Amino acid sequence: MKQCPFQDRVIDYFFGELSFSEKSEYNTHLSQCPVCAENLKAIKLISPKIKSRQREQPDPEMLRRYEHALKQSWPVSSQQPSIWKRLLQNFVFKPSLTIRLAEGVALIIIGFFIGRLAVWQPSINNQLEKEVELSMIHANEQLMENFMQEAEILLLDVANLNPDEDEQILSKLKQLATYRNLKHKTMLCRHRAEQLGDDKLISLLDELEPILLEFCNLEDEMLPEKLSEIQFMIRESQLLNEIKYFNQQKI
Amino acid sequence: MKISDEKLVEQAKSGNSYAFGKLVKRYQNKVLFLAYDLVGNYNDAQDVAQNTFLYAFRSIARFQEKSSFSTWLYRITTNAAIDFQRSKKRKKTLSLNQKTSEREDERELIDTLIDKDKPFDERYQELDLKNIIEQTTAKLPPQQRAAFVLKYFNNQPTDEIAKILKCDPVTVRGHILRASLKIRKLLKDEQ
Repeated sequence: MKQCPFQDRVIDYFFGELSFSEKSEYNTHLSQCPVCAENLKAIKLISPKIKSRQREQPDPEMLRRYEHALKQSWPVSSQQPSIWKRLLQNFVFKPSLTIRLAEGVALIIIGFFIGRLAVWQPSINNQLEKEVELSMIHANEQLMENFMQEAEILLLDVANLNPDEDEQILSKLKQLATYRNLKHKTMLCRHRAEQLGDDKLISLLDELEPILLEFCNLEDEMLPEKLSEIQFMIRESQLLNEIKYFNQQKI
Repeated sequence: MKISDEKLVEQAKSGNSYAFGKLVKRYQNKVLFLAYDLVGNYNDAQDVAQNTFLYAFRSIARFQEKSSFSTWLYRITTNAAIDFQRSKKRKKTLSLNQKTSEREDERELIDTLIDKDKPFDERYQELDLKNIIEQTTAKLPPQQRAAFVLKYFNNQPTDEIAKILKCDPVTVRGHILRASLKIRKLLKDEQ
């Protein structure tokens, strides 16, 4: 790979961390250096994709335990109760007569609005809503079909491999299945099938899931050894034929 | 009125644990999320975050305030995460039990994924991209991964990352560039 002594500067250039003069100097360099120009192109391409990745949110129960453990070790204050404790004390546990009256009135008003909301029906364009719903169903079906086609190709390849000769292809197939996240997609599709109440699809995915899990979770060095077991699972389950049938029906 | 970090650090140094408690409350989520980005799951991230605060509490008297409190705390988090991963790698054996528990973890992950309110198609497409980015970052060497995570996921400037990782800004830029090019290559292979 070609190198440039200034290639690392592209990071500060892209993230806007160069001074004005450094930036204009680097602009000139960029117009003459294909290595840096290529790197900048690559970063520009991946950056929005990485930024769009949303961090998985923690399980609320785990978060509660974590916050509780920290609070136990280092309490925030000992002098006076927190504002929430004082509010609870004044408004819930020991409210004065005026506050009780105000709370009563507030409850009546809230009740009135909730009642109105329950009865109120927004005016909607039924035709448009139906069209959106139909296009959503179509898009979801398309994804499901894509997944089944991917699964069929993978199973077909795995079923026809020779464990002694095609070791490299086997490892590539496993890599491909992992990068395409097939095992997680199986679970996701199964959940979708449950939502749709499609029993046939559920049983098909139930058969597919253990095979994909077994395949994706195998260590590389175990692959050739375990391949025949997986091939046996595929043959035994008649899965390939069922998926083929499913895909043909869709076509 | 919000008390500044410097003031709270000063009070914590003189033995006021309530002041340290306020600092913990202020940074508990940031530290947890950074730990998550560095180790890849919340169970381990929780341990790393708790160890971070414990270490910070024990050594705050030695904190010389040459950098900001947050930089110092992120440095402790990053080191704790790197140490945690190294010790985990050492302990990792290929026992059947462990594989089973890994599968259970996977099950839990997918359960949380499908419990979300998002529509099926959005979750499906997210899995594609998320997987590439997370699998690639997980395979990066620890320092490279830390630099990449601090830049892209936590928007830290290069000089700040250099302070956190206690290395030269040139090295930091090199780490980030190499990691970026690896991801670019994988995305290209996917298309």
